[in-house]
Amino acid sequence: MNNGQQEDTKRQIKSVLDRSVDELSVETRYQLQIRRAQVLNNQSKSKWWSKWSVFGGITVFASISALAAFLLFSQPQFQPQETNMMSELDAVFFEADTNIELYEQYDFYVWLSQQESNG
Amino acid sequence: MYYQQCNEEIVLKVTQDQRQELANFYTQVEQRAYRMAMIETRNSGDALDLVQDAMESLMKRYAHNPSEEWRPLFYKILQNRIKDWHRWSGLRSKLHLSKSVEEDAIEEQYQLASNELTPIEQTAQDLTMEKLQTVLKQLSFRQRQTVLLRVWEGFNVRETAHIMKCSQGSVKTHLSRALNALKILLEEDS
Repeated sequence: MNNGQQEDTKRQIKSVLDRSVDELSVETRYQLQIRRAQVLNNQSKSKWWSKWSVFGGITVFASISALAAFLLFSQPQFQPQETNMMSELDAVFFEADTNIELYEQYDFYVWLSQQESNG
Repeated sequence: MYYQQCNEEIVLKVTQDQRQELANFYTQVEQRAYRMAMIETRNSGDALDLVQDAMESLMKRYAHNPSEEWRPLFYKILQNRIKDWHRWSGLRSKLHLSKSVEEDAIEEQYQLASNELTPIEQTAQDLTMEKLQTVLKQLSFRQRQTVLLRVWEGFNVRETAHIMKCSQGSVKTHLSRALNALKILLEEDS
């Protein structure tokens, strides 16, 4: 498309848009005047709900996250395995105690046999 | 309460002269801005909200800037609001929270048709705008932005790039592609 054609298209678009502004209804113009006056007198109403929706959104998100975390970590697989760990430790200690007893018995028998051999 | 106090402080800082200047500025741009928002939203209520939000944001943040800077700043804010609106309406339609954009557009057309009795000439002109809106809708958002800002609002390439937050080369590319597409689409329609 050459420059002349581009300029034609631009002119065509511009004239339609300009005309569409001239043809705005009285109601629309009136509405715009009201909105302008609200802004200039700081009476816009469109802000309070957006603020509250942000706070509300954050609150709802936090609540859902907290609930999800509670439900997730209350599941058995996320519980600390205290019982099993304790029983394993008990087993180790029990074995150790048994070994000590065996060693003591062994020492006693060695001593006894030495006494007997000595006469 | 804190938000209200902030608002009062900001408004107090805007002098009476500045407010008058802003009022004059808004009078100049509001109808064109509304039309621009209408092309994107096709919903009168949403378009009015977007224009009002842009006005409010300009007054709160940039009232102290030189008045020559207001126009590009205002359109930059408006474009950002429109972008946000597109994101929100996309999410809304995905979640089926309310009517879709197409349903709103149909409703709007019915409202226009029922509320306004226009002469034959005006009907013909409305159809032309309707046709242009339909054709513009077939372009991408960036291309539409470029056409409206460069062709209609008469911003230069540098200003348009600043408003659209892109490079000047991108603006030229968008405009060229948009004009080519528009020419073809308008010819097809006619």
